[in-house]
Amino acid sequence: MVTLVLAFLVAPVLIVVVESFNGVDYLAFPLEGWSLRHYERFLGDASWLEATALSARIALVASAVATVVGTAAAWGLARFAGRGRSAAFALLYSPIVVPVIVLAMSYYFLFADLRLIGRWAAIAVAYSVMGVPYVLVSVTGALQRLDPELENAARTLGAGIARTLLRVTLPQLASAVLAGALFAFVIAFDEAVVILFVSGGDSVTLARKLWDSVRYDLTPTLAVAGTVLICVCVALFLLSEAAGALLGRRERR
Amino acid sequence: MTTRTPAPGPPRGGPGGERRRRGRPRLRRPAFAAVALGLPVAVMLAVYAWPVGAMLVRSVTEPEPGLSNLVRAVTDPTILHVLWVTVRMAAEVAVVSVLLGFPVAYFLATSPPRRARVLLLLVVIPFWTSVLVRSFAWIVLLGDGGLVTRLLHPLTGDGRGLLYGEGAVVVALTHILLPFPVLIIKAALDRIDGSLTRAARTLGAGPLRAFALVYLPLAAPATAGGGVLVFVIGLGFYVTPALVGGPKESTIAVVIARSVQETFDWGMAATLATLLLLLAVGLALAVRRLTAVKGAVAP
Amino acid sequence: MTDQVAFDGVHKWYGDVPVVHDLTLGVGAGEFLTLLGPSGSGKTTTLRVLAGLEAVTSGEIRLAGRTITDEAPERRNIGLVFQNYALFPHMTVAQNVAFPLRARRAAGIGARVDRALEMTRLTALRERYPRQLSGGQQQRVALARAFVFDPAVLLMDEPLGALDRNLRDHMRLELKALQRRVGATVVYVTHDQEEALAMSDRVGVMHRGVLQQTASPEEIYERPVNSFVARFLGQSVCLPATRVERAEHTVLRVEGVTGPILVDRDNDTCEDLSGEFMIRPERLRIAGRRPAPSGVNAVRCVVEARVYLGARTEVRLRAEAGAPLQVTVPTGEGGALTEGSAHWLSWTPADGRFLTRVV
Ligand SMILES: Nc1ncnc2c1ncn2[C@@H]1O[C@H](COP(=O)(O)OP(=O)(O)OP(=O)(O)O)[C@@H](O)[C@H]1O
Ligand SMILES: [Mg+2]
Repeated sequence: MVTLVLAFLVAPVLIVVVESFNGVDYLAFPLEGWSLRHYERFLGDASWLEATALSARIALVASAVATVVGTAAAWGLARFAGRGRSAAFALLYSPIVVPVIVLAMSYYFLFADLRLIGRWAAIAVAYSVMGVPYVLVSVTGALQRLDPELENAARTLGAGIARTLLRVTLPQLASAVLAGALFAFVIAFDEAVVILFVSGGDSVTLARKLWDSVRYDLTPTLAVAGTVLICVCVALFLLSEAAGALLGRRERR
Repeated sequence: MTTRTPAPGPPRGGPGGERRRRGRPRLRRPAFAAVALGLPVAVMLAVYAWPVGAMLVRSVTEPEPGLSNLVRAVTDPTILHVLWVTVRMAAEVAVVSVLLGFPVAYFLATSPPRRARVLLLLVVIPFWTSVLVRSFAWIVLLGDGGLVTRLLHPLTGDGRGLLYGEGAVVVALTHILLPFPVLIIKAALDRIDGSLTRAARTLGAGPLRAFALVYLPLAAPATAGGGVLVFVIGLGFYVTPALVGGPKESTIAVVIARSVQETFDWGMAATLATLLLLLAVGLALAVRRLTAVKGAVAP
Repeated sequence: MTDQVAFDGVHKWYGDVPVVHDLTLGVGAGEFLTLLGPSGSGKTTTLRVLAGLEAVTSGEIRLAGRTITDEAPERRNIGLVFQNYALFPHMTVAQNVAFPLRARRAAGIGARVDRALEMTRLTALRERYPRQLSGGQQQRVALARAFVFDPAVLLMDEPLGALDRNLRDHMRLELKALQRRVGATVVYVTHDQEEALAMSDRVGVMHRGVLQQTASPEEIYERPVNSFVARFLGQSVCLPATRVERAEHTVLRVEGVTGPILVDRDNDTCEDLSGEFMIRPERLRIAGRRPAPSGVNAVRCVVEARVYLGARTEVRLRAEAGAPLQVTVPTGEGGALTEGSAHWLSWTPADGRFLTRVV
């Protein structure tokens, strides 16, 4: 039973990868011959490559913004005891709860009013909002395991706030910050709802292009693009696991 | 030798009393923490609360101020039907996800750590895989002539796939959302002290009774929490219903998108989005109470 | 003498709970002062206020003549050894010790770190991480890190609390030797009265946020100012009493004791008419018959129980009129003190004290 469920989880992902090596020009499973022709087609098509590059660029910026905002907020929440703390938490955490379609509409209206539709930087900022809760949760967890007395120790030893945060607090949060950053990147990299509303004609990300082809032509080149998405995300996941283990060992020493 | 009278109480006047409330320390941690929290909050207010708030406002101002959209939404039979279909499908997905997810979580939680880590990858890798790609996979599998269709052929007796029907949406959504309950329930099961069931056994409970009386009650909140979470996410899902569902399976999200992009009925879209948002937030609060773990949603 | 550290009417409240009340205290340069008191009496809070980790509610703190009440902790030049050591887990021993010097952009960091590690005998461990050290070694790193930058005062919050008995006795000697060598001014916090008496130039006893008495170890043991201090330090017999007369001697009526009890006038520091009579058990003499009466207090009592404590045996007695008393005899002596046997306890007026009652 468990084996079946696990197979149910993994098989569709594998099938997309296998499909990308299809030997014919239409979707067929089981495969009718193997070939790399769809990879050639994908790599030979500037629009797919541009879409991939745009996705990466947007995800990079979104992840950077989310990481800075989320990390600062996590530290602030951990150290701030005054009024408004729980309201602040609700604000920072809630994007995880808000249905993406609601966010998509909100940004569509906003971008339409401000003539930002299709601007990649604006899209990146919108995506960063979706990444903030994940960074927040990840870093908050690490902060709870951190001895707050360490910061006090650094202060009495003559380090100002900036130095304390940089040399004492941050190094110990590194793996949590990285995990949050990677997650924020992945979310932005394969986000497929908001982009349908705000890409206009100019900002065609990989997910947007995939959507269009799923909707309108359904060719095996799609499977190649899907494989690229899978590989990027899984590679980042494995990277975060490895980095987490490595940094975690250093932190735990 | 210094001697003090032993009367700890509020300073009654005197130099101490007068000097109370004198100079506050400058930029100390509390103040700095307020800044560290205040800046992110300001950013989120500007780039998140503002657009969402404006959208909410739109639901009662467009096309004219008032509750006309809401009235229309709750009286229009097509919209009511959409709401019903959405809730029904989300509930089906939630139930199936929990039924499939609990055994997997239990298996992972009781496996030796090394094996559990490897098996966990099988849950987490799909979780990290694009929703779009996974929906696409189901189009391949469930389409006419797709693998599943052909495997089911002896049963169904015709070559028509499940694609573009409610079954397809439920299967694909279950696949997409299943990792959530698995991860949440596993996290809860990991926290259950194994010695508790052993203790119950030594107190004379059989394995089934021990499981039912000790393990299940401890696992119940997270299980319910996982189910509600799937339900909430399912309610607002757009990509999968839009791709693998047919016109009869339009969900709220699909109708919202159509209102925005095709019929330009922005007020109605905003109203439906508001309803969806309220539902999601309300249920999410319920989940938080159930699981009482803020981080449970994150992997 | 100008004090190295001076608290002047310091109050500290947490919300509307007073935790430190009207603290006025001076610590001389090179002095070793210990704050002693029960759990929750405000010792840690006093150190944290001095180090700048908590803001005072009112009052003033001076360090080497400079007012530091509102100064940020990193500008105070105070070394603090935390109870859990608070070593930076991601830095080696040497990096931990170098941290305060780096923060100050000091000159000759390497040499100063080397010297501090040498003094704390950590040279061989310099490249280790805190988690690879034993509790005693971690304690020494915390200490080295706190004095390497020559702070104006060194604060230690139960630095030996986490160590086992033997190591604690050993570290106590090392710590004291180090303090002498460096000539540091130290404010030390402990639960352990033996530690306090053995190490300190002066001991301050705190109770419910109030500094009750500050004095040399001998003075505070021999001449406690109130019954709390008397009870808190060492063994004592304390009995409720009222002053009947104050002439050449103070004449007391002690609860549970028949007949008047005499106390030297100098030993009567009670501010009220009623207070507590106090005597240390080692001042009580025990005899089979009533001692010569002149100017000696004597009470007839019966042995209730004996508690074997290794080198000593504690004998609990009850006076005829009901007062609980106790003496301590070296084990092997006092064979006549069998349970139920009657004896006379006696002492001179110079041995007893009449104190203000503080509970
Ligand atoms: N942050 C705080 N908020 C509120 N009350 C506090 C806080 N810190 C300490 N207290 C209270 O102040 C009182 C004194 O605490 P403090 O830590 O100074 O005691 P202590 O003498 O060091 O005790 P111990 O020997 O147990 O360490 C206690 O009653 C404690 O509950
Ligand atoms: Mg303390």
